[in-house]
Amino acid sequence: MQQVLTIEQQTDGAPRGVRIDDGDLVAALLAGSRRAAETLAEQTYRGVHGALYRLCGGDGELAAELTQETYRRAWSALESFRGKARFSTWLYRIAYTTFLNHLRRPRPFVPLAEEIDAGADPPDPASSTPAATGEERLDARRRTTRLRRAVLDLPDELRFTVTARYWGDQSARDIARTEGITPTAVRKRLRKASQLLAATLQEEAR
Amino acid sequence: MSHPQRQWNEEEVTRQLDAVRGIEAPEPPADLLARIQGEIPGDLFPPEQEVWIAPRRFPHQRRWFAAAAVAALAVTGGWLALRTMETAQSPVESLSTERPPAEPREEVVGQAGRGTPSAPVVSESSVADSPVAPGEAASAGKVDQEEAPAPQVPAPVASYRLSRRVPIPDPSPGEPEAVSELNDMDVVFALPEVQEARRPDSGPGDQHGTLVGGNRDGVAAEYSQNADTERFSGNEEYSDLRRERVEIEKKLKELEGQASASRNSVRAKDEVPQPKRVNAPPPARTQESLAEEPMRQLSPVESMPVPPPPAPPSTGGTAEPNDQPYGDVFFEGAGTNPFIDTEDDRLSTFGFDVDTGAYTVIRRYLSDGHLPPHDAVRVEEMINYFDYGDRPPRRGDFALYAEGAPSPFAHGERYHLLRFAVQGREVSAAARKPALLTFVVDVSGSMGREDRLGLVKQSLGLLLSQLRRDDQVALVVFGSHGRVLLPPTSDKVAIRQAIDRLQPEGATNAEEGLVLGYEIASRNAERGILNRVILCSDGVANVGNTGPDSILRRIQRGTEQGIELTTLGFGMGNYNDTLMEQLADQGDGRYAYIDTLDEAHRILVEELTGTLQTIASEARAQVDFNPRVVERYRLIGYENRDIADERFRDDTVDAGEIGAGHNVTALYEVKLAQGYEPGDGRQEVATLHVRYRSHQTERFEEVRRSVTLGDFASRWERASAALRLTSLVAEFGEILKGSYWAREGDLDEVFRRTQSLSAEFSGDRDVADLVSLMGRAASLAPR
Repeated sequence: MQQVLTIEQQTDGAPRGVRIDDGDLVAALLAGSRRAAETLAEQTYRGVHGALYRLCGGDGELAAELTQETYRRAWSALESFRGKARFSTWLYRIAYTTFLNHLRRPRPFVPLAEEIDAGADPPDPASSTPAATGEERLDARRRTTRLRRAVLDLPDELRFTVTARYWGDQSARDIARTEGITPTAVRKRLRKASQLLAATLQEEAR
Repeated sequence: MSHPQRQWNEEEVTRQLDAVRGIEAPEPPADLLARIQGEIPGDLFPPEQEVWIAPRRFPHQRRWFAAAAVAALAVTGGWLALRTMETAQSPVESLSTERPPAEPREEVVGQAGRGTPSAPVVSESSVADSPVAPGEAASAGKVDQEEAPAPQVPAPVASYRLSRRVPIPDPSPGEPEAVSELNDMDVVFALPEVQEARRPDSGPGDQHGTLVGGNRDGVAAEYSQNADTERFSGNEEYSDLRRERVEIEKKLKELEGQASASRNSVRAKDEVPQPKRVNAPPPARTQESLAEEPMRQLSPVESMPVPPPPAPPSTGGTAEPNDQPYGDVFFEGAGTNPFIDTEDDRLSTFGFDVDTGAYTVIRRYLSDGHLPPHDAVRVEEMINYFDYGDRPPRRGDFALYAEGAPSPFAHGERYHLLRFAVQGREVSAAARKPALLTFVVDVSGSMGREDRLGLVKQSLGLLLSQLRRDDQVALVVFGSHGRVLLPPTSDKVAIRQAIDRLQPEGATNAEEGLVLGYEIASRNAERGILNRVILCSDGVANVGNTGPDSILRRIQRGTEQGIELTTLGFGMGNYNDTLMEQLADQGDGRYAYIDTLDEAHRILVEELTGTLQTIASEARAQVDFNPRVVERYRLIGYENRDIADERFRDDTVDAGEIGAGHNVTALYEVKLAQGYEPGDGRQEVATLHVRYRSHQTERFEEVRRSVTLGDFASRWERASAALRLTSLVAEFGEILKGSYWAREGDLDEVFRRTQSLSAEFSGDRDVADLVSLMGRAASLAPR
């Protein structure tokens, strides 16, 4: 059986190469099915956790807590989900808001910036070749950290798009749908964001 | 810091960002899922949220609701009555309910209401698809069936379900008096409904269960379009109401889009042409029509306001297209634009689109004897297919045209069609820059079917004749692997020989092919040439990274080097329209679907310069309506090109690319305010602004043109041939699309009108073609 390349391919946590049409589940969900909710949660929670893990700079426990909170909010906000966007992208949006709220909230957790410099960030896989020295790896980690901090300082529209794309691993098409813009506009935003980031980071490095 | 700091440039940022995506998150805590699932509320939609529109505030509103409710109940009641009759009439059939549970059954859950126990609405097939134990799934299904009225009809025709969120009195056939309570109903009808149909479990080797989701998502209808002719000016609350209505219309659009999306999910898994209703064994004719009738009435697109009485559906808009004549075809719908009141939003903004793929796809369907699926229709691409004879500008990049005339299709009064045309300057073939065309040709097994590859070869042959001496062609093919068949060359003999060597082989590794193609293009990137990668494929990829993302990233990097991607679609079984359009969109290029050699001639020979030489990019339009003269407006088509009004002058917005000599036409349906008639040249109706980045000056420029009532013809027949053709093509598209606004459209009428108009376009083969296509569609449409 031939595998057709579709946009739906990026399924929520499903193994690559298997096509799951979450349309059916979403329809059932919107009709109020608790079982559909359970199944969707099962399919998506790894993705949400992964995104939050990256957003939190590698704090797995915090990520799990925020994941739980994300779903809690999602169920109560289900009215606002009308199946227009993919369920996973809609969830990401909620996860993102949850994360931002977490940042704003005074809480016992270590503030993001310190935590990062303490080395909580996962290693940058691109530069951690076996040959890389410890120092290089540290440098790479610092760069990832700086980048993330700079991203969090972007204007909200760009910030959401960038984190959704890279931290949340959502496709441009899906982001476009939640945002109500064209995929090319998403691409434009990403490009603009990279320009801004490059400028800010370069400035900072001096 | 001892380690030398790397520079933070854009490339580095992108690289780092990409790396972020590669960070593997650890396995979440073992109990996380259980914690999450434990928090799912028992009732996902608590009762207080049931009423999302309270219609009691205004007496006039109540009238609409009552009307809609009566109609809804009439339909439901009528249908149930029919069903009852059917049951009574067929004692033999009712015996068949004794069949083993593996037999297909119908589920009918026609009740709704606060008191109704809400059984899980997970359809059986979706449960079966999901990772739930099969035993559980089966039992869940059984529960559903037991609660439903006993299934009487053996044929598994699709059923519907009134929303459990809608407090409608139980419309069982025995209670006609329910109608009397209507005036006080809270919500009239909302039919978001999971349509459930089971496939027959006919044994091993069976197709995998897919939901027949024709109209899974329902639509709530709150007011009737006809009632809209009533005016409530003077009522202070009217503006409130109007805002609400805009909201509702937006919602309707959303829901419609949703409905289309769900239609998409119905995909035949088989390669052979499918009969109507993929999963159903062929039921007796009468049963099918009986059972389908109410479904049509309730299908989201048509049923919005007051559903028509349960008579046979009128031609066209309400007709369901033949399901899936080709296996595994993928389209994606974007809904239909609603009417917008100028008092709420006088600006209409959209990106240009010069693609024509949708029209040729439709042509392909019709010539093969099928009505196209709704989602395959993008009206603007149909409109933009034709040459309306608008003259190119004498100076500048664009000439703008605008004219209006009364609409021959609208039912209300004062509705007019307003046509805007933007005609790009022409660039002669000799004046265009030399081109490097890297063809990336799909030679996978699927291209061997229907002689797709043969058509590709012939098309490339046609192109050869158009090449100038300084043009270069490279050829990359991909089957299981990509390989360079011909490095860039201007030698036509070598090109011809390479084309002849093309033959189908193996699997489809589109990624490798595209990557190779882009490698050639970027290695030869230089200023002053048109660097194009041209993908010829049926949009099927099955080897390599088949997720579109990695391909899209490569394409995106290409655009930064000035490499544009044109996608040419071939073949229909297994065709992936969405992918081809998306690739071209990302690659700043154009998407065309090639169904015949004539079309190849049109794209590769007649329009070669336009296809290659872009004159403007990020082109978008904003129409500013004068609220005094125009009461409401509706943009026909361009649904997936919407741009936020306030971002019109934001030059980071991505919009359309326009090639030399291209024409972009947009058609609006407008309702003029009371007391305004065509003719008065002093009354401004609207102003069209066009903003784009000119390739001549490399700067953003803006041009505009205003339209007055003087640009309006007093009768449709007096309007220019261009306007009449545009509106006929639009109506044709809207009917095929199943647009709500063309629900009473008549393909026969469109056909007749176009036929008589075609005399004025004598010599234009496209128009002659269109006429015969409309004739075909009219004969295919159920009546």
